[in-house]
Amino acid sequence: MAADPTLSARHTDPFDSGMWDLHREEHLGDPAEWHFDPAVRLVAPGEADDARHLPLMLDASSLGAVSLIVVTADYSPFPWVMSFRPGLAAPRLGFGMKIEAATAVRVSAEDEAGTWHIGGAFIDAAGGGCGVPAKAHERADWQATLGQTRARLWPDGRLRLRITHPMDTGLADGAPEFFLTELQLLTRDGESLASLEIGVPLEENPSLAFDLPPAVAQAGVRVQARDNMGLLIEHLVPGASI
Amino acid sequence: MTDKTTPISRRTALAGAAGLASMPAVAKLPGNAFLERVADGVWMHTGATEGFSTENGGDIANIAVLETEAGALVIDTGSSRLLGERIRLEIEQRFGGLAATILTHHHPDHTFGTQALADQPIMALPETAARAEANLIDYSDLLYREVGLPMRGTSPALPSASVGGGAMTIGGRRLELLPLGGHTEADLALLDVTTGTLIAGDLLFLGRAPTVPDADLARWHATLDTLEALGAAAAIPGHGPLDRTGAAILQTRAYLEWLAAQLTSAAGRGLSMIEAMGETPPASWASLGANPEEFRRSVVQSYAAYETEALPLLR
Repeated sequence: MAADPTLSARHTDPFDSGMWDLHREEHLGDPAEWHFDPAVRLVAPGEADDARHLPLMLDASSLGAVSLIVVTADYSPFPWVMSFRPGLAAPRLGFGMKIEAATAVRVSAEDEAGTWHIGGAFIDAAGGGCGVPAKAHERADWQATLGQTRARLWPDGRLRLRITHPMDTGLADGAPEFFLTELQLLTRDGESLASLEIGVPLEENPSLAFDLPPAVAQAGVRVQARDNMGLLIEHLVPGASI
Repeated sequence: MTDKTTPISRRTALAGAAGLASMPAVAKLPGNAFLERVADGVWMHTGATEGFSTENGGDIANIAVLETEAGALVIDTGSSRLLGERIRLEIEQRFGGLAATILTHHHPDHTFGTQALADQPIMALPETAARAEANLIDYSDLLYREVGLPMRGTSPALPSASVGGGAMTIGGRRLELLPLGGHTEADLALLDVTTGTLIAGDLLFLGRAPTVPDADLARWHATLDTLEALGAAAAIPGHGPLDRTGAAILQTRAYLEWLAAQLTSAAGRGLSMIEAMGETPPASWASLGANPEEFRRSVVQSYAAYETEALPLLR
């Protein structure tokens, strides 16, 4: 069998980490066309100072149009973190996640031709972020602020959004799985802008940064989120004044 | 408390010394100058102005020693059994034993050397004792991970005696205890009345980026005003060299003001946390010991509060 040396190099895992082949099958649907691609960036600290809040920003904007972005962690009880359909938003997202152990975090971006471009970063961590109880449960009245949403739009298209939610993984004693499962961004008129499917590893009180078309940000954006207990969160983020 | 301690046996001292011979942090120090005399009866050990590492052996915080007629009063203890033993050896040789230990606050770089000093009272504010106990396991995990081998055998003793504010005399040495806060929930500063030396703990940093994981900045600023009003002849900061000019108060205040302004600006421009971490401090602050790493840690520890201010609550 004549190996293609270029393809082989592009299939060589930069993190030499054992779970990648399995996760590519399970979370990307075992695509035929894929390669590691430094054009898909994950801005990350080298080390997680707080295993419950690892701050990250993924950026696949140099690929052009991207239909789907999947975030996975190689070594975690919950490898799938989330899937992002950028739609009309830039294929760029600021977010935070829990980290259970030092691991490669992968960002896999599918372009419009169906080819997957794989980027990521290795994160050193003391870990344990998935097994500790959410901070929310230190307060008896935590449900009083459940679903509280803070958000703001900037004229250049930036949307910052933070939703109060414990994002319980189910691993901590006495706290069954309780987490946001999806988030939709829509125009003021209800046209779909971008969406997230969310897994338990997303951080408690998820804090997100999207980049939308400036005209959309100036008009205002609707946010809809749901959790696995059926709570529906709906808000209009007022348009950014120029 | 006025009882003079029984000097440790020569065998114990030798065992301690043998252990120290292989300790990188102490081997790096010039000669035997673990303690430097900074005023009449006031001695100081200056830790590295860095974060924890195996190379520095966790020796990153200052230790103050006051001579009294009842032996040495040790203020803060370093971060490991080996550092505690090193200070113990020094005071047995120089000052005829240990009178007592006082902890300025609960952070492990100041409190994890206590086990070598636990045969005499270890004094702290009540909140400091509570926080030290509550964080014991987490701090231990952190230090063993960040420092590694030089931590071996470290299992710190918790405070055994409570102190409050006001005048206190130990072995004839007069002290003014100032129960303050801001760097943590409870920070104890001490004024040595005879020499006018302020032992400030981590209320003051000099040449090293202040740490803020448990900080209340408004309270810390009020505390800095209180310290400034003391007009101390000299100050031993928690990290950094002896200060005879008041620079530590000015630098700590200016850095905390800059940090708050920087994070307010970042959140107000809509930056995500990792983007805020990526904004390098200006050269004067980037060049402080432990920076830019400490700045990045500060963002992780405190950015959520700045987001709360910048993002309106939707109704």
